[in-house]
Amino acid sequence: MIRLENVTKRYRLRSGVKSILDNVTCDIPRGRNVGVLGVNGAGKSTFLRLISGNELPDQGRIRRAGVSISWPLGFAESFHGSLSGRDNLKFACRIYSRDVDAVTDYVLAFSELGNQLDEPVKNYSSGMRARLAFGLSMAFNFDVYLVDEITAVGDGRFKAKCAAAFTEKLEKSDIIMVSHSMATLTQYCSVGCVLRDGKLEFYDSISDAIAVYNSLMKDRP
Amino acid sequence: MRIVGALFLREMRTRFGQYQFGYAWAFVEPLVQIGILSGMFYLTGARPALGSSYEAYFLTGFVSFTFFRDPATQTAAAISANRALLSFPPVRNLDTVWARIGLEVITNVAALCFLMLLFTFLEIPVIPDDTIRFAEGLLSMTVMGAGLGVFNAVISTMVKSWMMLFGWVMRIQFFAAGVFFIPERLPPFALDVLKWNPVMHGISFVREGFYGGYRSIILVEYYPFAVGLVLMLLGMSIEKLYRRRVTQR
Repeated sequence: MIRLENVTKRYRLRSGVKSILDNVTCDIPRGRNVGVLGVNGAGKSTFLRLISGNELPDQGRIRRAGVSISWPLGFAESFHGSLSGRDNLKFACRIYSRDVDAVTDYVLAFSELGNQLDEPVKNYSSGMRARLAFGLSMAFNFDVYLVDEITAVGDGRFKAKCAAAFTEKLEKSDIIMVSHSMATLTQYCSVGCVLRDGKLEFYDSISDAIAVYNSLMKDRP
Repeated sequence: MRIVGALFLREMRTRFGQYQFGYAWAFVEPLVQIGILSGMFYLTGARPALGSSYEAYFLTGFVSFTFFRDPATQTAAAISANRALLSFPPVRNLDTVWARIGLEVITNVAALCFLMLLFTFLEIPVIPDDTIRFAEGLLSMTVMGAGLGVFNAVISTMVKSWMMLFGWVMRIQFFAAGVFFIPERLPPFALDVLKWNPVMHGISFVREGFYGGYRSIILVEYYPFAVGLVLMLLGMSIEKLYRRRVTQR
């Protein structure tokens, strides 16, 4: 169970203070996949970063007792450019106490990077980085995967491979997903929540959440 | 601790990686500096203020200065250079700082051992008279460097121009901290001001350990330690208070 207790998160912008979460208390259910919706700038990515622990709430606390949570997959670039792909994998294995050889073998097979794994990551194309990142996140078995607008990488065959690996993961793990694609959300998520004006509203079915989100979009000028 | 260890290994990969001589540079740099400083003194006819060996004089001056300089400067970019790795949630801002301090301290100790062995081999006397006191002096320099390093790493993420200001301070310190002179040789008006410089206390500390008969007129042993620890606690407190800002940029 991931539990938010009186969590407040604000950003100071030039135009004033923006509230992402305003004194929110809620449980994020385990065993269900959650889609997070909200208009642009509502703070969906920040919400994921709060869950992962990348960012700290201004007030309140987030309890994640006994649940291993991934870093937000997607936009975030977690690799050090001067290090090779292999050294980046080693680093990640060390901080998460995983077996370096097993993870490296898995990622090597999955990402199809071959010898390029020994190149510095700064020389990688964005597609290669994405393959490395996706492979790494699949090699670690997290209880909950945080997915921030995952974009398909590579050719059709590789996309299918990613989708298959991800679907297999979901037999044991849950996801909390941010996406602007209603089709993707419907495909992976069963429940949904809508983030607006610092409040988080849960809906038992993803289609209800999408309906609320669509009506929000209509109200916007 | 596991995280700091992983960062330490990762820093080893890149700290010296971009130079052709790699890690050897850490050993060559003090050797070259001691050579240049000794040569300058020799050519201008200046005598070392303590003992008769130029090499020993600058070993106690310059090498002890690097014990302060390296943790203070190399650590300053620790947080910003590891921005990408901080996106792994278990990695905390200060972990990157501790890892760099550890690497700098180990490198400095290794370089010092290398120099002492090399000079002994060349029959230049560089063995301290009071090894314990010599080591305490170096520790005081290290604590100041580490404290300033923590402070720098945190402040430089918030104040963009900080590192430029700090660069000036370090250049002044190189000349004002007593690498070249001992406080006893200063005119009284200069001594009145410079005796507040904790780095000068640290270098005096090291030299007292090295030159058995030497007693510095300014040294207060706890002063450099206190300055280092206060800076460290200050840096850690600012990081805790402004963690949100430090994390975001």
